Amino acid sequence: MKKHSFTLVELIAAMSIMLMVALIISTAASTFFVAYEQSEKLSARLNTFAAVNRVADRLICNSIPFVWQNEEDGKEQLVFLGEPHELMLCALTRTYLDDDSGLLFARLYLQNTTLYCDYSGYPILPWLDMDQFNYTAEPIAENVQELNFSYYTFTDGELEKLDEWDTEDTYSTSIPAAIQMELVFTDGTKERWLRRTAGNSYNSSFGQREEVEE
Amino acid sequence: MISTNKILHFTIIEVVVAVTILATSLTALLTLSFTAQQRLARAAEKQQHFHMLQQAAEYYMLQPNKPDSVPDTIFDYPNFQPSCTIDESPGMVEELNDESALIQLDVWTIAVTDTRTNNVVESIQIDRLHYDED
Repeated sequence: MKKHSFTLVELIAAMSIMLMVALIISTAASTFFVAYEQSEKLSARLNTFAAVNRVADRLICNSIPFVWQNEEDGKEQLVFLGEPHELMLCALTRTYLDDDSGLLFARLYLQNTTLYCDYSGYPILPWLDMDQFNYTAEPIAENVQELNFSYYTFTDGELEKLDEWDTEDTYSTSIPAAIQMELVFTDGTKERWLRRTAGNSYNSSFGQREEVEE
Repeated sequence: MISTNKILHFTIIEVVVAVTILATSLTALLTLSFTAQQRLARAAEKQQHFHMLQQAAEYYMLQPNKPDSVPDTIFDYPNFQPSCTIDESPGMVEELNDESALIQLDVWTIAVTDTRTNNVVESIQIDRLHYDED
C-alpha cells in the first residue's frame, strides 16, 4: 500500500487556511469581548440611574413634614434626619390593596460601597435605634464610594444650601425645600440628584417653613 | 465494484466556501452586536441628557424668578450649559392675563445646550403661575 505524505505546498496551504480561520475567530472573539464589557458597563450605569431616580422621585419628591411623639420627653418631634451622609424621611406613597399605609418611612445610607434604602409603612424614628423597627433593606446602587446630602431652604428670600438639617433648633417643624443627593462612585465619577420636596417651591410649601420662635 | 478505502479530501473550493461562510456569519454577528452597543450608548446618552435637564429644571423651579445661572454645586457638566426663557402662556386669552384678580400663567422653557456643537440636546416647557414680588 502506497503511503501518502503531504507535500510542502499542501502543508503551507493548510497552515495558511488554519491561520486565516484562527485570525477570523480571534478577531471576532476579541471584538465581542470588548463590546460585551462596554455594554455591561453601560447597562450597569443605566440600572444604577434608574434605581437612584426611582428613590429620588418616589421618596424625596414626595417627602412631607411628619411629627411623632418622642416618648422620652412627650414632645412631638419631626420624623426627619438630615445628616451630611444619611437621610431619614417620611414620604407620601400610592397605596394598593394589600398596603397598610399611605406613608413610607425611609432611610438612605452607605454601607461599605453599597447605597441602601431601609423602608417601612410604619414610622422609623430617627431618635431610636433601628433595631427596634421592622423594615425592608434594599440595595439601590453598587460601587458607591461616597454619599453626600445637601439641604436647600429659603433664608430672607434667598436660597441657602446647608450641609445638615437641624430638626432640634430653628427648623423643627419643616423639612427642606429641596434635597440634593450626591453619589461619588468608585471609578471616580460623580452624579447629583436635586429634588424639591412635596409641594415645595419659593411660593409654596407643605407645612410650616418659618423659623420657630424661641 | 465499489472501492471502500478511498480517502475523502476537501477540494480548495470547498475550503474557501467554508471559510467564507464562517467569516460571513461572524461578520453578521459582529454587526448585530455593534448595532446593539450603539443603541445602548445612545440610550445612555439620552438618559444623561434628560438627567441634566431634570437637574437644571429642579433648580429653576425652586426659584421665585429666573436666576442668572445654575451654580456648579448643582449643575457640574463642563460641556453643557443650562438656560431658561420665560414667556406668557401661548394661546391664553389676553383679557384673562390682564385681569388683576387672576395670577398670570407663564411658560418656562428650560434647555440644556452642548457648548461644543451649540445644539440643544434636551428641553422641556413648564407652565407656572407668575407671582409678583410684592
